[in-house]
Amino acid sequence: MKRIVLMAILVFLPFQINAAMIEVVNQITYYQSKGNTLLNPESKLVTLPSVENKLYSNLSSSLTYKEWFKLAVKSRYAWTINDVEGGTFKNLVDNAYIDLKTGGTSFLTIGKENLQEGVGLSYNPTNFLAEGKDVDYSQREEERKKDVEGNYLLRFESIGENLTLSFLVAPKIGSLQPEPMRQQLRLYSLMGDVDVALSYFYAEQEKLGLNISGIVGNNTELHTEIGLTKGSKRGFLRKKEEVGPPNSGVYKYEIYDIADEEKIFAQAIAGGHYTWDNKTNLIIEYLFNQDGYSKSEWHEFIELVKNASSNFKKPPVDFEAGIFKENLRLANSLMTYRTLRRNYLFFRLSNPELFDCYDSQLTVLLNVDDHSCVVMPSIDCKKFQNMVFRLGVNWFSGNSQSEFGLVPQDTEIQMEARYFF
Amino acid sequence: MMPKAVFLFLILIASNNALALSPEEILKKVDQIRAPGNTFVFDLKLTYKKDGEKDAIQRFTVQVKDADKSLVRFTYPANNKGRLLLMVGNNMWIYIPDTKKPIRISPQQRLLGQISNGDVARVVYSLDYNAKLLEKERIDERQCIKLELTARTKEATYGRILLWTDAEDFEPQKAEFYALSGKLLKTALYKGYANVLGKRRPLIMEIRNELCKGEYSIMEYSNMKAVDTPKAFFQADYLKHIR
Repeated sequence: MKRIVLMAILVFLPFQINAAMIEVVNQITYYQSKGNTLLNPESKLVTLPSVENKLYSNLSSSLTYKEWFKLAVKSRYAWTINDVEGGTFKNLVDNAYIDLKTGGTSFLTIGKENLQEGVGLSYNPTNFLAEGKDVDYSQREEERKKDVEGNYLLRFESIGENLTLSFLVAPKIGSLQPEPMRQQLRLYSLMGDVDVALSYFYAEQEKLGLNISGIVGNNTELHTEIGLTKGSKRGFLRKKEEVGPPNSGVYKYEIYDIADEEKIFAQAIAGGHYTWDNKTNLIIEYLFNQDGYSKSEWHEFIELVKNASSNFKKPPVDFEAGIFKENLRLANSLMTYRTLRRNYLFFRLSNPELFDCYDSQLTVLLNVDDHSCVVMPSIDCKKFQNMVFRLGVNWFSGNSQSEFGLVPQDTEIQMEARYFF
Repeated sequence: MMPKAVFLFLILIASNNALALSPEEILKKVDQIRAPGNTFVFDLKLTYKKDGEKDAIQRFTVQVKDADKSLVRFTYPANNKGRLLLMVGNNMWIYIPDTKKPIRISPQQRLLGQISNGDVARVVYSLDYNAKLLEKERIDERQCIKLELTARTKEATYGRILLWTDAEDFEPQKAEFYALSGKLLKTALYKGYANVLGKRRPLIMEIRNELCKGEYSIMEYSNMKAVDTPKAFFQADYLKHIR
């Protein structure tokens, strides 16, 4: 027994556990439903919860051995219960990787890693590897990037004095990682006082990313982020076939992609931060999304949805609601809110120490094309050591045929208690 | 009581000592007191105090290299633990663990109370400010030289600093920090002098908020050591690999 203890000491003594942190969060969200939207007429298509409780814990820690070995783990355990679906439990691993120092300033990383890219706050057009991962929009912009499930990958990074070069491979691993193999080459340099990062992403679609950021004076940060993708990601809705008797005017819908896979689509963010002497911080960003619906494409989409919606509410004679329900379900599956259209403006005004202990912010995301918006005021109370209480509201505004007007909720009210160990 | 003649004699010596040096050289002497060499590390405890309220505390470990490079590790409280702040020249990044992504910030963005990122990450003045000699003044029975520091670049944390240093040994005693607009933002007192790494150095900096009376912050320096941190540590892309 003594020998085992001695061996264990010898094996583990050089290792050091760093930055072990446990975060426990309980979040209650009240949803005020609009009751009747084009995509969920009279709430008959989907019954939405009116209240939801999410209890989750984040565990992150790292184990290091001198300078050459680091094992990092971050996992999230989330138990969600609402008045429609009951309870669900999820265990997600954001990080579980080994980072090996292979030379003076070169590293090899193996395992599951949440790797975020991009200088934008509201959206990151160059965050290619994390595309398709669930994002929790109830969290603040910075926190959303922290709690994202990682990818299994192998990454080599060499950091030179003027240039960083990194290359990663995220292979397809059966059901563990069903996405096709992805590869990324990234170059980064601090050129004068400006950060420049260029990345080339190779998968089913080829992508190119450019990030530039710098400061002007003591108060201002400016940045731009451009992502170019070969081929479109957007799905479109169209009439597939007429059903029922000839000339019934009733159609079954289908989703189709743009055939031109060689066309390059650009997404770009340009913006900046300004900090006043009293700590108030203003962030403004403009997003251009070439892959979003144009005015005519959106009009076409809305006309199809209106047709399906009215027929679902009151099916024509000899037709059952099922076909219209399926049409609406297809339309709902295309709703990638926040990037549906082409032009967006993001504003955030915040003060981290309002009345000393309140971290307050007012965020607005405006769809410039249809003038709908989501307004998100929130306040964090940091009066107590290791505890944060948050009250936040998401208010969706816009006419019934606009992006945020189509959101089934009118208002979401969130109350959250966060405890750090 | 010290005889008046002796006191005047000491002032004369001190004045001669100061007059022999240019303002820039005096500022360098002040920096040498505040920063023990080109490459060193220290722990910093930052306490924010306000009348009638519980103190708010943050702790950091700061690694400095070549005066213009600093790496600040957040060690307390738990919700900030593991964060890193990197300052290279006038460039500043904050690194939030688990995102692997350093975020650029401006030096104006604050840590706690009246303490800005620049206050923690930058321990010398001569890098960011030009010095001009003003009149001599007495502070707490000490004959002091008053220097006016004006920002060399737009990126400097303050537009102007008035700095009082001892006329004899150049130990900094007091400083007033002004915004570009000319508004007085805060006043700092250098205290807690002790022998560290071969020199008397101020280990406490008490900073009073001039915009909000009754608020002040205390920066306490400890565990100051001459340690050569590898140059690679001071690169934004290296932050995710720091152990």
